[in-house]
Amino acid sequence: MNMKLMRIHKPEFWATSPMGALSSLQQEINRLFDVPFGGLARGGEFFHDWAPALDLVEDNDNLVAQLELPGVHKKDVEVSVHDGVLSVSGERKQESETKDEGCFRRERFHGRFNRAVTLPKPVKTDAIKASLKDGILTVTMPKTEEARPRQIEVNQD
Amino acid sequence: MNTLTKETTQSPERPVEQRFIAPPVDIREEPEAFILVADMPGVDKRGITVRLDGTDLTVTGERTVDYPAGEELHRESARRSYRRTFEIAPEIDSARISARVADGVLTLVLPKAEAVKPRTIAVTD
Repeated sequence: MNMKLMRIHKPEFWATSPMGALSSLQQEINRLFDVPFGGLARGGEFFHDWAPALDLVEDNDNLVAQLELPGVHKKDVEVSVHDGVLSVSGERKQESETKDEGCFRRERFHGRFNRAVTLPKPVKTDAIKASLKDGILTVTMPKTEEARPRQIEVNQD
Repeated sequence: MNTLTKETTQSPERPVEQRFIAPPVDIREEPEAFILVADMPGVDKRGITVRLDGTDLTVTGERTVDYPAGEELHRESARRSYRRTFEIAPEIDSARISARVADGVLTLVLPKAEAVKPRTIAVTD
């Protein structure tokens, strides 16, 4: 069978962000030295770690976190806020029909992921909302009254 | 005048300044077709363009889910459109290529032309 049946024509990933690719490789290497055995002991799992991209923004009322979770189902995601740390974990399951056999390009990650971020402001943990749409998880966390900007009225004596 | 019109109509298709990121893909072969799966988080049906130009198949994805408004405290997302070009073989029946997108994942089915499908040939006496 001719393996060139469908080949990658323009690897724009490398063309547009060589530094990005390099720095993520650098991070992998740094992590390798940080945990000399921890990563490798898990039988190659180290190289299949998936750390979905995470953004955090703040507006007047909320802290909003967004994560890129393409192909992850709602039931496979867990969101929690504990001690001022937002944790998102879950799993992307392999499509049922996918087999290694006949697969000649595999760049997408499958398996478990885990992200945690320390929140810079206190939030109302009982009023947090999370929604998953088109592979984007949005977590809206209302700030506590103390953490919100306040307008102070000037009194005239 | 003609040239000008042509250039004007062409320019939106050639966004020279716009930078893209290449989505990660899985490609696998099945008896009837090749299956290409690409991660494009934040893109729904409206944001996907699949274009076949000769043997060049280009998929472009523009995000349709809003980015959160406010002050950015931390950002890892690329905030760029997705684009990647693949060269497809003449064995693929380009007229029957189909695409669907779900949960930010694009799946392209590239059916093989009848001539290259595996066949069982009956043995005659």
